Amino acid sequence: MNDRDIVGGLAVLVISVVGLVASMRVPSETTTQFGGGFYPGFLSVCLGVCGLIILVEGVLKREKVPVPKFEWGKVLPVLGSLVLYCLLFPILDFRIVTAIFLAICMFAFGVRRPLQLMAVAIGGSLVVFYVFTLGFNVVLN
Amino acid sequence: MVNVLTGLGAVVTPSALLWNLIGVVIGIVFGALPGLTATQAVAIFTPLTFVMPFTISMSFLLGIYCGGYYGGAITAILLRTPGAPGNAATCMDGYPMAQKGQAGKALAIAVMASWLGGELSALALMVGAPALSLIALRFGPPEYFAIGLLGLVCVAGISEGNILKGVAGGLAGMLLATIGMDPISGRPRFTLGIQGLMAGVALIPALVGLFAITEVLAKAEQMELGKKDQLITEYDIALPTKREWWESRWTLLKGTIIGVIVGVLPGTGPTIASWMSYQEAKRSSKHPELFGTGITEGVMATEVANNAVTGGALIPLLTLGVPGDSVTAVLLGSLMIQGLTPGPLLIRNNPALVSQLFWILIIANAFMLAIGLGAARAFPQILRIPMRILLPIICVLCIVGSYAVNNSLFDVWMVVLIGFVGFVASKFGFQVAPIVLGFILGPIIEPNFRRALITSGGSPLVFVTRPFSLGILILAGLLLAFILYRQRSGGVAGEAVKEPDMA
Amino acid sequence: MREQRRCGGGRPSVRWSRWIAAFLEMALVAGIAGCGGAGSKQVKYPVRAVTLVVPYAPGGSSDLSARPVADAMKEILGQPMVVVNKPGGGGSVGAAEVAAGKNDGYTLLNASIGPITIVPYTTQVSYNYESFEPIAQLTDIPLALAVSKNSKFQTLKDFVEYAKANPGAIKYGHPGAGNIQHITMERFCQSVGIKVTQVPYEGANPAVAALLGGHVDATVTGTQEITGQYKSGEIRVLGVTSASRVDMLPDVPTFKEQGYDLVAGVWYGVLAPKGTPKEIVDKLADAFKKACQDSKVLEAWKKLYLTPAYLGPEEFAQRIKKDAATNQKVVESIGLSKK
Repeated sequence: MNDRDIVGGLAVLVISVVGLVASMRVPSETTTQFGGGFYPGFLSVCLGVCGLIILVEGVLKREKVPVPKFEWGKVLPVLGSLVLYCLLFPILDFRIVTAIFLAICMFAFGVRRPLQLMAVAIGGSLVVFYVFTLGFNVVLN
Repeated sequence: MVNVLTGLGAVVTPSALLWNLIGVVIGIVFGALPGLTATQAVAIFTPLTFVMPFTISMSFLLGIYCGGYYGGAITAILLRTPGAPGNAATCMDGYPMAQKGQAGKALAIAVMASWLGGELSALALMVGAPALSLIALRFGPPEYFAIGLLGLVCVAGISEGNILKGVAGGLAGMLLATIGMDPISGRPRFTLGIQGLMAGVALIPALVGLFAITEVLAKAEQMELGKKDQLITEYDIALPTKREWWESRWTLLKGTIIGVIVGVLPGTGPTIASWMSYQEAKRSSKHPELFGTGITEGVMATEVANNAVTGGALIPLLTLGVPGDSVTAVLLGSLMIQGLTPGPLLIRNNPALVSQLFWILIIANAFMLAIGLGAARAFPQILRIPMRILLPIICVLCIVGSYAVNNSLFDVWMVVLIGFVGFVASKFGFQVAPIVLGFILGPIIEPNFRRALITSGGSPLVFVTRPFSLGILILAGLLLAFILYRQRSGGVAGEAVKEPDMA
Repeated sequence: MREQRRCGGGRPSVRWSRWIAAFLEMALVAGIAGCGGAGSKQVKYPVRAVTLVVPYAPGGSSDLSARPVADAMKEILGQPMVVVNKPGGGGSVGAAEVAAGKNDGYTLLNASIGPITIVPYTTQVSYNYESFEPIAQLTDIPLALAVSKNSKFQTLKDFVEYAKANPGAIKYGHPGAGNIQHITMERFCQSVGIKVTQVPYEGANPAVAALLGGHVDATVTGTQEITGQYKSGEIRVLGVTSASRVDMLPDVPTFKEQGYDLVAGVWYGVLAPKGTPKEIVDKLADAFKKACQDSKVLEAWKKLYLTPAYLGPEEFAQRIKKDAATNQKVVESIGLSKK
């Protein structure tokens, strides 16, 4: 597990196995020659072959590429604020959710000046809301 | 000839010109915003045209069409977030150009190439409509399957560094596209009982997630919290020289032809055209290794092709009553609202129609060029906004844009989920572009493969006994051989150049 | 991490506001119902914008047929009617959402025959036709069986006899498996005892293109999809499924005229979630009836080749019930029913 491609190849293999198992469970058709599971199953097998080769090449090659490191401390706050945005989207007024999201997300990115946070959050959400609803006829709750 | 000029008289009225200009502006804005597309814009504004006379309504809607197919290039170049699927390929060289301080130049090239492709395709509509419409008729299920395979070969061609990872990404994209309704039996598959997945993973959320959210997360990771951003304050707005255009003349011509033909074929659109054109430009180039590093030819190839789709896609709509892409599918309804029934009779009963649409397209593309050149000066200013403020705003636009397509909250969740997966995959050296291309090609390949076998009574010979199908399959085979050969012979050097910036 | 915790603390208050809102809404509804019971027939509806969910993408016939109606309804009801597109799953995504929505008359579905009377039998969805309160049928479009101009079939009889002699030899295209076009054709084949091969396409346009290109022998679509090609002589229409001839195809005989007992059509109509108060249903039905006579609406429908066919709540309910029963039987017999 000391190479990026060993991990990557393994991941591809796992996806292909999941895909293949799911494809085999698609009920076969009598009306058409190939049922709905044939093509995704075929893709899964091809994907598995790719994954296997990537894995083997990763094992065999001499110059290892290290497994990438994730800086979760920076990624998770952004991801978390996106998830929160999705959660609140159907519950609160669009303008409020968007302002909250913008503020949190900018904070996560390291914006600390309160005035800037508030101005961009409130201004941004209002501009987006009115442009989309009035200009583009999009219905935002 | 007289016919051509009478058309001009009808569309050069102040109100028609004004609505044309408004359409182009709306199109560019919809094109540029991630999630919103030209299709969406034409659909949203079609009800407005209930009360408009024919020339005004068409000036307006075709203006949206032309502007919309170019607009996505702006965000693709500046932010690596294609505003519409057809501009995804423009990220490949447009974004590196902007990073090198050539944002203005890249934007200028994009709009000039778009203009060229749009005008030439309008010409193709004017002179070649009846002949080209025959191509659309000759294409049955085996031919579409073959075109899909040709597109898949392009996936291998555009895979940076590691072809195998590109192919794996393409396959994963195709697999992702199988979720939802089985297109032949009409049964749901892989939906895990989730109502939202019944409709499958929609294209726009997948695209926005894979490009925009992936990029936002990658940028977030690179961000140094305490420090100020490294802003790109330089943006060369020098227009490309005559020599650069002349050197790319074959790329531009081939891109136009690819765009027009892909446009003529129902069920395919600008996304496939631009990737094919990009791959062809790279294949025939003397310096294929420079593609992806920010060269003008890469931007020209994609943008000339996606706007060349416009004229092409109108051809089957006007001659057969069958739309060539998703925008013309909506335009079919817009024509009916005008009391015109798209079909073989349309042109016969309205001989002036084609020349009017021709001039509308010519004018719309000219407006697009003027606005786009202005935008090439103005829009790079976006890069002056610090990333920590720009990225959250991009997120909001992505979420709202993806929501607006289907008014679906489920789609919004998909954006975030797919974006995260794309981010992790790209860290492991799997590029997002092949995944997107596979996602688009899958729904062409599978149903047409199965349909071809249904119509042939189960005989696989149908793929090689029809001349068009056989021809395209041979072409795909040759292209694949070429790509593999070059990978083998020049692969070592290529790998060495590519690997460091991917790690 | 800090900001996440802060939001976690914020959520309960969100829930509270939702509860309060829901409570107020309930009080309001109760108040309205109370008014109705108090003798004054006047129902205070609508007091705000009504949402009309179109379960298909903007720009399609479901969408374009609904928008002029919504405009006309604004003038009749005195409140705006907002069209919201919720496409996906052959119309089932939007239908499921309305079925699960509030039955206060403020969320309506611009339904059509497929998602209401077929999809619940072919697919696991959270609703069936009984989850709705029918309000009004608006339009009814017959189906057409079309062949190429070079086809050897001149009449429906030719088609049926050839199919009898050569089971499975005729290939017909339709706009998608489990669509009304597919189900109706299968129903026809069963009734006359023939076997043909079905080729599903992704919508009506590709199916018509396949017919023009000669990739299939016949195509079944709504009449509005082939009128242009018919008028130019590129295709021949063997029959339409309406009870009497269609205005836009006056030379085309119906199935019935040719001795085949098949009457079917694609209807578009408006449904509300189950349990919507009767007064509101009646008020809406009246309003839609007026909208169906509005000259702008009629003109728009004419251009889109949609046939106006207003039905009130009771008749519409009967039709839905009948269609659902018919289609369910066909779905089961061709092995398309959900497992």
